[in-house]
Amino acid sequence: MAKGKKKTQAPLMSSAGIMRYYEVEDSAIKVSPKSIVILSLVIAVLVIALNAYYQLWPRV
Amino acid sequence: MEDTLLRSFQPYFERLPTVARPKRYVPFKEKFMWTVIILVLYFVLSNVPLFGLSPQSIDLFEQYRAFFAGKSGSIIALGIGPIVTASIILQLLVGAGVVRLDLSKPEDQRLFQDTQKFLVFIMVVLESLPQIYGGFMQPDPALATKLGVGLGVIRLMLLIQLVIGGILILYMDEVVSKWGIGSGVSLFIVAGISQAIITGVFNWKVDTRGIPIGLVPKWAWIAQNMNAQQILTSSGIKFLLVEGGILALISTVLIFLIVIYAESTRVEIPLSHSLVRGARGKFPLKLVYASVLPMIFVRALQANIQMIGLILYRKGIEIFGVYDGTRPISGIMYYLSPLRGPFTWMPSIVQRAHPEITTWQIGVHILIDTVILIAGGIIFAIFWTETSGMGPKTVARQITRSGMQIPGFRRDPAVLERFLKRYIPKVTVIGGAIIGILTVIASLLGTIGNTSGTGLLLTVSIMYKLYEDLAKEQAMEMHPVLRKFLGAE
Repeated sequence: MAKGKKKTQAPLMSSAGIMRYYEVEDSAIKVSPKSIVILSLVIAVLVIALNAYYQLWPRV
Repeated sequence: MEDTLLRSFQPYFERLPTVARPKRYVPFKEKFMWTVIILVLYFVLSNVPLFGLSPQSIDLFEQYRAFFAGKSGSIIALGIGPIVTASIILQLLVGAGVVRLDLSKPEDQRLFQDTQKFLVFIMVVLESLPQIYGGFMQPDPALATKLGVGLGVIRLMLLIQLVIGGILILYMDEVVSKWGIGSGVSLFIVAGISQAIITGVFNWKVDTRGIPIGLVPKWAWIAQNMNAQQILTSSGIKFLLVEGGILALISTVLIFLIVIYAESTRVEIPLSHSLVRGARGKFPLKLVYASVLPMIFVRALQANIQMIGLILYRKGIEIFGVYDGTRPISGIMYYLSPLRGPFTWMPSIVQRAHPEITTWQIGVHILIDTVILIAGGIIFAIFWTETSGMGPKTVARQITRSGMQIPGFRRDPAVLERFLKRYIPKVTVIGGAIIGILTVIASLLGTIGNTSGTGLLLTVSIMYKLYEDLAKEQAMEMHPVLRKFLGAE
């Protein structure tokens, strides 16, 4: 009963106060979640490799 | 700013890439998997050091890690700072009516969403620039010589990495929000604070006086090095309470309990169905109506003011305040800075490091922070309810649409609205004030791991909400019919 309120409240509370309206959002460029994960990993490895190459990582 | 102006930018905003929305129902297992993947990825990134950063750097966000997340010196040093700040700016503009958007309309929601995302990109750059060019993050001169380039090139490399890290956080947050449970923002806050609490309990590293930092090792140290006669004096007990972390432990447990109690306290308005006789329901108005959200805003606002003060001080402008490290010790910035545990207000401890701060100055500081928190809590809570569709008008419309009414009243949104107007504003103000007082108490007593009262308040509140979400998810898994009922796709 009275579920109407929950619908607007749920996304609000769980995102620490940031209002989002993903359901109406649209963009010309869509990325899959997998590519975000892969991209992040590639960047992480790249930066670590750079650090390691110049002996800045691991720093003691 | 007119919304027509904003609207003219919309086609450009829409060019920003988004994470694809799932086209089908995502089973709980898969949601859980995405959440864990992003969490692991977040920890991986927080251990990737910025290439070319000098170890002499200062962390501008040091005191605000609790709700900005991220990790100093890492590629995600900005954390969720840009997301939160962009959101505050836009919500304040909408709440104050500077940007006129009716957030119950889908097209305005879309404009809000697009603008917010665009603002995050702007904030990522705006928050990176002072970090590097304000002299907080310093380029590594050894690397510059090794590469045969100037420090300017290294600074530019740092800037690029910070911006990339900030954008990655934005998209990771989006992945969790669309494919996972809760949102990335809350996940990162909870992860950071839980980590700080665990370290705060078990950390065996010692501080400058040779006393372990973690609670358990500290107690072991006290048991080994102090006898009963030393402890059972007034200064010994004070030592145990403040530096032994007993106050922090008590306030951590207390906050946990009070937040859960307050979150689950509701003023219930009885409802009945207008067509189906005997179908009764209750509309729960949460006592802490806008929850702890106002507190992040107040603290984030203070954080931004402090950062401006710190940048000015380092540029040689001292009229707003003098800083020791990242902590203000005089001027208006001292009074406006947030309290963070007994170390920031107990005269004997504060004056040990800074004898120039008098006791009455400390008193004024406590008073000002109390006023800021309570007044801020109330003001932001009112803004919140209005902009986020929790106001009497929107709620009245929702209840009417669901076919419910208050028994003994006409079935008319206007009547219902007048009825709700008697409750919602009062509950909002009282709730905002309660949360403000709670934050003051938490900030005075401090918390385990020095996570700041606000941070802990936030974490408990987010976890409670997450628990509710999980329960809902599982109910939906078990009873597919419920899915339609609970409004899922």
